[in-house]
Amino acid sequence: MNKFFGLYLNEMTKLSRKIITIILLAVMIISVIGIGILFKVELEYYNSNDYNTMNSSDMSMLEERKKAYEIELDGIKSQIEGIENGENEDEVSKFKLYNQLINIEGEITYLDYAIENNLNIYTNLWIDSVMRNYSYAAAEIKYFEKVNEGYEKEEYEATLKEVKASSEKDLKVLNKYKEDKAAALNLYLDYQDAEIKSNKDISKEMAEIQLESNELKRQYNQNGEISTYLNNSIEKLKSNKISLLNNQSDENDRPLTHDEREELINKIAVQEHYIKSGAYLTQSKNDDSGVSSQIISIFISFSGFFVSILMIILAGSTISSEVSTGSIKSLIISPLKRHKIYTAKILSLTTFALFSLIIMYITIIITNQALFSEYTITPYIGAVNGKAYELNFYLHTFLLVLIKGIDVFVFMMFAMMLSTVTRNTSASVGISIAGFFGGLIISSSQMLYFISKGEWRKFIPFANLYLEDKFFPYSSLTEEMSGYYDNVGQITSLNFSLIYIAVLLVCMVYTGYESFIKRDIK
Amino acid sequence: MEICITILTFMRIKGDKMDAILKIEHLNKCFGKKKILDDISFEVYSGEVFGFLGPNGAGKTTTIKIVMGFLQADSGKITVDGYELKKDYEKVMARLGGIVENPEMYKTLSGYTNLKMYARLHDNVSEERINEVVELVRLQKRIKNKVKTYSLGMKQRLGLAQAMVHKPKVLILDEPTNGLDPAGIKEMRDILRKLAHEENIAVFVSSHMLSEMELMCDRVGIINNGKLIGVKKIDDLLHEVSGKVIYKIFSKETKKIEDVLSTQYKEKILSVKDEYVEIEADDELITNINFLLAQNMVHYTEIKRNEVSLEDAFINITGGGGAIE
Repeated sequence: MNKFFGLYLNEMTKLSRKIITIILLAVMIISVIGIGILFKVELEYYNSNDYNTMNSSDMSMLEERKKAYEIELDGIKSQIEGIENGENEDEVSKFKLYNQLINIEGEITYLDYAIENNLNIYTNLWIDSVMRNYSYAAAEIKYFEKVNEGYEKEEYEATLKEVKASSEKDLKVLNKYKEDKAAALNLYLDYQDAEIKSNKDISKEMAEIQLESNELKRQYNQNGEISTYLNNSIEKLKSNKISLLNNQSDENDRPLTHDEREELINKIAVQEHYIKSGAYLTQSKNDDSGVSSQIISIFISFSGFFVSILMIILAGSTISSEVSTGSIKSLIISPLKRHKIYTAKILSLTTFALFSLIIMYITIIITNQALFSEYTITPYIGAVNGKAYELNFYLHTFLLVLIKGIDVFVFMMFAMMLSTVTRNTSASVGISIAGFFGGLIISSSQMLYFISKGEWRKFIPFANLYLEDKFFPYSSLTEEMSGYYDNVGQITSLNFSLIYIAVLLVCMVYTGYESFIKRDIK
Repeated sequence: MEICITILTFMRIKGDKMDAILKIEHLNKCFGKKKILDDISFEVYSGEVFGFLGPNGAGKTTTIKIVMGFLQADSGKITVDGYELKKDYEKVMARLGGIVENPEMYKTLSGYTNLKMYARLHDNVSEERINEVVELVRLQKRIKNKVKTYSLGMKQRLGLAQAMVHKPKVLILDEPTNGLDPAGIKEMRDILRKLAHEENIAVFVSSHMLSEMELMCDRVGIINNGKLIGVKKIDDLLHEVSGKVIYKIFSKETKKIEDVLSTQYKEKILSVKDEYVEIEADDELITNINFLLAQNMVHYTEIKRNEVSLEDAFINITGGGGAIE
């Protein structure tokens, strides 16, 4: 045992003295810092813009749009005039033309209002929809009699009253918005609540879900604004709850399966926890998408790349380079059986990989603290059996690094097996790196998911690596809520992947042992 | 009774001394279809320098590699200090030290680190012992430098230090004088003889040069084409190959010389040329021949003594040797 420990120490000495080790670890640290700085610069630039008001190019675009509508409006007006002067007797087309007129006039009023008050209509503010509603209602009232000719008087007046009433509400909100933005939003929500309560077509549960959602919005009313991200989350939560209530998912019309239902319940729990924990309420106005979790995942994938390459190079040369330089001789003449030598090599490489991962973790955490300390760090929120739980940010990051370590370990053992079998450093390192890149390309493009629907896909190694999403299935939820992440789903389950990796590792290690122990060293 | 014990004790001491520390029995090895070692058996004793002599490609290194655990023999038994290689691999290896072909170290590490790393794999190797072997091979000044800065001779000496650091019972060296200058060869020779005779280590040395073996070894095993031709004491071997002296008698009357000598010494005449006659003879015989020639009034210009070199003798023994590969 003493001698074996000596062997292990020797292997560690050799690994730590290799120049490639120092170079790649240094490059890894530099890359993390560099990416951090790049990201920081981008964020600063992004934050320096005020997205609630428009810049000059947006403004001129709106002006142009308005001009185009005005020209169209003139055309329609002259057409209507022609009909009224008796040149054309077609009543149906007249009705259609008036409807078009209402739309275009509404749009022009709306654009006018936006330009006048310098509101960015592209950032999807709630005030935008109020504005639009008001503008269209105004145009509708203007031409009300023309469009609703021939209706019975009572019905006609009731509809007109309704439109006027809603228009008045909108106007009140708009006026309020000029004085007090926060109060305006509350007023808007109050009107919505009243509408939901008076609506007799929807069930009590449905009404409750909608009221709850409005309540959340009211709660996170920050000076009359709800950030896009938070708003999206609240809407998504609402739609998930409605799906659960109707027992029907958005995409397909069939009832939910048992698993889907469980999944949905967990999702709702996570989303509720997210919203209620205030994870979105960061100091930065324009960024509330959990900068730290995003930057961390970029850091990990980038630095993990260097650690993988380092370990592939170290493992891919472990036997072959010793054979080619002849230094294996001093190992062979040592009084230790070959399986011990191989075991010591595996253990030392594993220790070294862990060591590199710890350096990676420390670098990531320090860089994050140094550059992004003003952004709140968001914990991971997961759910089991419909109950949400929080995972500390630092622990979550550490676990992510360790999960990256699984990939590193698999590629390391692959390289070591090749190194032992081929006894050729270039071949083993080359093939392993090619496999590494191939895996990245295949997994990042979701190629496996689209290639085929066959069961055999499950047995492709790359379908069972990159386990972050399988261990933490809800980390993509935040991105999904923001709308730009489309979760195409996983081919294999976590348990299947873990068993697959274990079997793969056993096969690779066994092949390596057999080759090293049985073959002559000439 | 007492006499009995004395005799027994004496026998034991004697027996111990002459106990084969390294025993090789019926060793066979093929590379593919090619037979590299064919039934090799010999023994090496403690306290002797055993030379393993043979031309390139004879199977010397293969034998050493099998003993050192690099290759696996197809059949045969190797015993060191009573332990069998296959059964007690680690015990056997702990009793062996050596250099196979060229000593290869970790070039980016210092000589000292290399020694220390090797020492970790053995029991009870102290710092003092490391310093002791460093001193023995005279590397004190350069031991802290990286191995890549060493000359071939220094590497060779470092290899020797590594092979000795754990006090092995058998020291196996494959062509240890390769790349050494004459002074280095002498130094190496002295170190090895000292180790064997003073520290009672069995030193097993392979070489393809008989002249080198002559000065270094106590016994020699000669191998050729994978077969062990014989194991002999170096003195016996030298005696066998020396003593043969060839004289060339230069004369214009070579025919006449042949006639004169063929009556008595026909079997001693090796060849008859136009200019000289070659005769195998010792000191006494050549005196007789000289007398005989004078008696018969044969004119000759010169009698030249031509000694057979050890190398020629060696080539004679191994049948010209020749690398198989």
